[in-house]
Amino acid sequence: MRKLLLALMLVMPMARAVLVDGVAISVGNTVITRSEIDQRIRLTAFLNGETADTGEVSRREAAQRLIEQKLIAREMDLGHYPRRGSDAAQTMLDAWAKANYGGDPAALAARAAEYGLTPGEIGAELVWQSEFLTFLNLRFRPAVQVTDEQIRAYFMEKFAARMPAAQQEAALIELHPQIEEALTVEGSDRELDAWLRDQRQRTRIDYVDKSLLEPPAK
Amino acid sequence: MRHRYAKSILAVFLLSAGVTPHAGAQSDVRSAIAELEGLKIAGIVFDPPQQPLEARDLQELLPIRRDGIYRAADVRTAIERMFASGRYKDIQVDASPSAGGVLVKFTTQNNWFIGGVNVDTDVSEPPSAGQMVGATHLQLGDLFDPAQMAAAIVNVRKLLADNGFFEPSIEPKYSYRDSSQQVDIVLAVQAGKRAHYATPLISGAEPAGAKPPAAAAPDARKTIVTAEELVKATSWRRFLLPGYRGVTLSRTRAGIDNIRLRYEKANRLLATVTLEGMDRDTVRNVAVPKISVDPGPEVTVTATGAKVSHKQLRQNVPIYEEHTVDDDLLAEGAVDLRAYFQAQGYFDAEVHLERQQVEDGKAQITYAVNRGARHRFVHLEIQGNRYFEAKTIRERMFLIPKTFEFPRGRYSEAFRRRDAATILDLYQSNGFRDAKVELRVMDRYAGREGDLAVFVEIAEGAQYRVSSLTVKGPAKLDVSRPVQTLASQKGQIFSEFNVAGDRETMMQYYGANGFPAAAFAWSSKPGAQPNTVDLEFVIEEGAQQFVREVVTSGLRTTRQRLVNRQLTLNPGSPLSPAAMAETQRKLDDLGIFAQVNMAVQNPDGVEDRKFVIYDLEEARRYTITTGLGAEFARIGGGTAISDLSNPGGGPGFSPRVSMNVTRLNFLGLGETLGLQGRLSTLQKRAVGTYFVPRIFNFVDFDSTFSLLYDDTHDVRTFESKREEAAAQMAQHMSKSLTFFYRFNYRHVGVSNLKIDPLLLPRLAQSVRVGSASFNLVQDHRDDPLDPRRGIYNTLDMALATSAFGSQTSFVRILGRNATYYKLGEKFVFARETQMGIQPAFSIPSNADLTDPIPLPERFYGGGGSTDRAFPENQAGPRDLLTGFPLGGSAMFFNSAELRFPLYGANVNGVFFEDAGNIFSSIGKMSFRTVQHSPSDFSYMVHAAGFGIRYRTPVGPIRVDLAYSINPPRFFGYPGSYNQLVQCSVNGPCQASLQQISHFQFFFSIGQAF
Repeated sequence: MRKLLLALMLVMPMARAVLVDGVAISVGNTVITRSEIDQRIRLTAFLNGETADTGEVSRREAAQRLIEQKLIAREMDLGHYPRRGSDAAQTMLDAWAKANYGGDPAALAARAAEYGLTPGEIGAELVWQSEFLTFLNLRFRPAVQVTDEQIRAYFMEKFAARMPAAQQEAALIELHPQIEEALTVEGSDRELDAWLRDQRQRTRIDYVDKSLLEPPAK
Repeated sequence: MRHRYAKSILAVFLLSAGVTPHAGAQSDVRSAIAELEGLKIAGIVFDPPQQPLEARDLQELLPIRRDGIYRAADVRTAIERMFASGRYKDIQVDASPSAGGVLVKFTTQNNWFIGGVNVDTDVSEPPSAGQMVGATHLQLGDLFDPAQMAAAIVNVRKLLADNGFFEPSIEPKYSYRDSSQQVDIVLAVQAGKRAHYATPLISGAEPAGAKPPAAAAPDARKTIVTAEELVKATSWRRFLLPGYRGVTLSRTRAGIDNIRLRYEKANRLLATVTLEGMDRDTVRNVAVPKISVDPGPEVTVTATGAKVSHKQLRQNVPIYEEHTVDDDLLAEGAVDLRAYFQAQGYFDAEVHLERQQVEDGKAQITYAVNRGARHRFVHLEIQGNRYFEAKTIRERMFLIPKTFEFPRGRYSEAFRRRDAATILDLYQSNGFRDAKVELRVMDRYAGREGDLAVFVEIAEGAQYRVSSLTVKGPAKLDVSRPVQTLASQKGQIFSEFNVAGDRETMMQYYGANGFPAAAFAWSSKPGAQPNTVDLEFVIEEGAQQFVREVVTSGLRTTRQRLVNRQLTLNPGSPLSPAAMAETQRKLDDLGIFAQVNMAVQNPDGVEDRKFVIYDLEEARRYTITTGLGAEFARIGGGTAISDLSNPGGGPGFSPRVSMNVTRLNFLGLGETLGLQGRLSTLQKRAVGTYFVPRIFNFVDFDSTFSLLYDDTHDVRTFESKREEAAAQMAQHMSKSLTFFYRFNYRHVGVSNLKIDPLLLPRLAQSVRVGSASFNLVQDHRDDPLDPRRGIYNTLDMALATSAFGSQTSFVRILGRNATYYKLGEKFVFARETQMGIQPAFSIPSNADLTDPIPLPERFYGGGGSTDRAFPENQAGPRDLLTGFPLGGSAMFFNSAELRFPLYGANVNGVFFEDAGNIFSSIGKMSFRTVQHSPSDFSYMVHAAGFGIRYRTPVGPIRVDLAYSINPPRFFGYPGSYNQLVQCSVNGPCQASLQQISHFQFFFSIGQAF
């Protein structure tokens, strides 16, 4: 009788079973689950104040971003890059609530719930972004060397045409730090992109959910 | 990436700006699964029910439990953890409402891992099966992806094509083992016939650059190397036969290399030779190599400012050795040339590279040399050393004041700097952290022009010690034992060298206990007392890993239990690389596997218990070797039965044929059956052996059982026939020390004796000998084939007695001691002493009273490995009528050799002095050098001589010429044996006085000792 009940319990609900989650993409030894892609779309939409688009293109875009996130997270672990503790999420969330919801956590939670998110998920995302910026600065920024010639060329291209020749030298001196920063950011972005391309080639990436594969270029 | 994240990152920055993102709420992203959130988990099921992770591992891994609360985040974590184990290819989770809450179902698909990869082939090597397996790039234990197989097959196909098999059929076969998720792969390869080379098509062989004008001298227009010479250089044509050889990768590479070398001979060091491809003619089954040649400019290297021979330039400028010319090599040449001049005493020599441009297809490279004054390094003095003796410091130094070997001393600036660093390192590694070392050079030492002295000035400073040692971090492992062995204990010397050693000790301990990710860090701070430090070691243990199961593959005939007995790892043992390597070594030591590959399956998977895999390739079971040889030496005596000429030896030639058949891994038990046969004019011999490599799996013990038939005439006095059975057990006490325990039972018969007929009744008897013996071999030589340093001792003790069924009773003790000393870098002094005694007891009444030991059981000596004053086995007492040797019951031989280089790296010379003899008994042993009468053989016979050794991989080929200083005189009989019998009956026989020749020669393989 018990066996029969067990069998019934196993078989009957199966008819109404729903796929709740599963592997969508594997990146080395880590996975991107279906729910993670969905969450990424909603998080991005929430942070950008947009409507969440769960269409195929949007899912593919989210999947690509998550692949890169996994590669970066692996590098952070291997390289022992600084990670923020669990307390950091709450601190950053509080700051977010203060800046955007008048310091009312309930308002933040209500808004997040509209996107199917919890404050904890938003806090984790804020922590990740902060860690990513630290990683970017530590890993790639030191490799970027900006020369005076590059700064001058940038100035001549972007600013010189808009000012009299007599003022250009003084303006160059004044704008030097900003231009240097802009070029450094550009350079570290290039370094990051090159590194990601390399990591994608070195890492086994399998698309279990084939709909997430980029369509072939026409 | 940053721009992709730009908007999100912007959101973080906007925190302070008080900007609220527009809320475009989406409700459709929350599916019906949200309704499951917070329900009770009524059950968790897996499809298939048999999961790759064991139930207890799954339970530890999953954050969800039956009767727990369902949360989508927990399900995601469960998927992530299961996947990280590396054992799953896909995991999908569905859930459904159930009477008791929600039923969660994991539907999984397993990964497969690469197990044994083998090749089943009809291909005659090359390529070998191992090369084909290597070409697949399928790594044991790695994740198996069917997509890899296409690339693997392409690689094997290319390897086969490189070896002349252009249309092979390659069929992969898979066998899956569910229990270990392992797939064993066999590639069935049918390759067909190997293609042969055809005449290569060579392009570009003309010199590069502008062609000489038509009016130039005829040889200026000559081709550097003709096409015929290039083809010849490849060695692709058959030797003495028409046609070309079969295509192999190594032949192709060697051929291309030889073409380049051919150009190099013509001073075209920059020549490039490229194999552009092989055109295949399927009808003739030949491959036509297409070779492109760029001879490059003619390169000449010269030196100005000093005379440097072409030979020295070739030796010191590495462009010749590296077969290319670049700036680094040319700069290295300048450094090497400077070192060359410094070795000649020009310590101030300067060498500069002056490279000229290429003109008219010629490149001139010139080294400008300024030798400076010639010096002698005459004095080295070490000052300020208190902790280390000067000898300890000097033996670490490159600088050497003038000696016999270095008549001008060894000195250079580079050596001086290196020695300063070495001495400083010596002090610092012994706790003298503030030590200072300076090497001061003084020219015109003692007022003599050109003489140089070096003063090593050492300021030792204080020696630092450890005031306290704290080890932090160990929690899972008890480290009290390894910590006790650390060098950086309280009160001990503090140095980074010691800390590095301690780190090694701790990491090895953690590694051996299955902590692959253990990490070690250390810090120090000044201690309470001056010159002391408080030391702290911090260990991050990481996760401990264990053996889940040991999986073997590749066994065909070998019994699994034989392999299992060698395993030092068991399920549940810590995953220790050292234990894994130990098992690999034990399997290797069985001698029945051509290859033992080992791996941890799923190395990147995050799981505590791992499969350990051994993929075994069984060696060929049958080995047949045949040999053809000859002995050419003063063998001694005529071979005919009645021929009594030359009892003291004459030039002889003895051809020999031999054959060995070995059956490895007999009955799959790892034991070896062997049959060796030898046939020569001096010997007919057959031996059957059965070798058991381990006794009851004790690795230090092995045993050999043998049956022997031997019909030999190497002692020319008689012919002996021996049938023998023997059992031997060897105990390997250490790498250098082995004991042998042996029992022999043999029947020995003698015939065709060339001795006084009146002695025949006593000496011509057959005899059964049963003996037990103990043998010790201690070998500390650096190279057994050609030792340069070390010691070699053997001791053989045997007892033959009626208790063992023996008809004769005696004790045999035979000892040998050899030592080898290096004199400088190239000279070796070697000496050896052998001594043996063989006293008889329970002597039968009919025995020869002068020596009651039966003839074949006596000591025989003299010859290339004992005393080169004698031909082989010609030492000792002799028959007083015929002059043939009778052997003895005591022996003493001593040899000394000075070995030195003679020509190049492979030809050495030897001066030697041998002394010794065989004596009828220990009481007759004497060290006198004069023979009192032709019947006196109890004295030391000396020989001195010269030998040449040519080094080969199987040991040096040896030629020795010896001059015997005091060879024995003896009486021989000038007639035939029948005449001897006649005269023995009828009256006294007329003997003739003879003597062993003063000159002896020996030709063999291997050093004398």
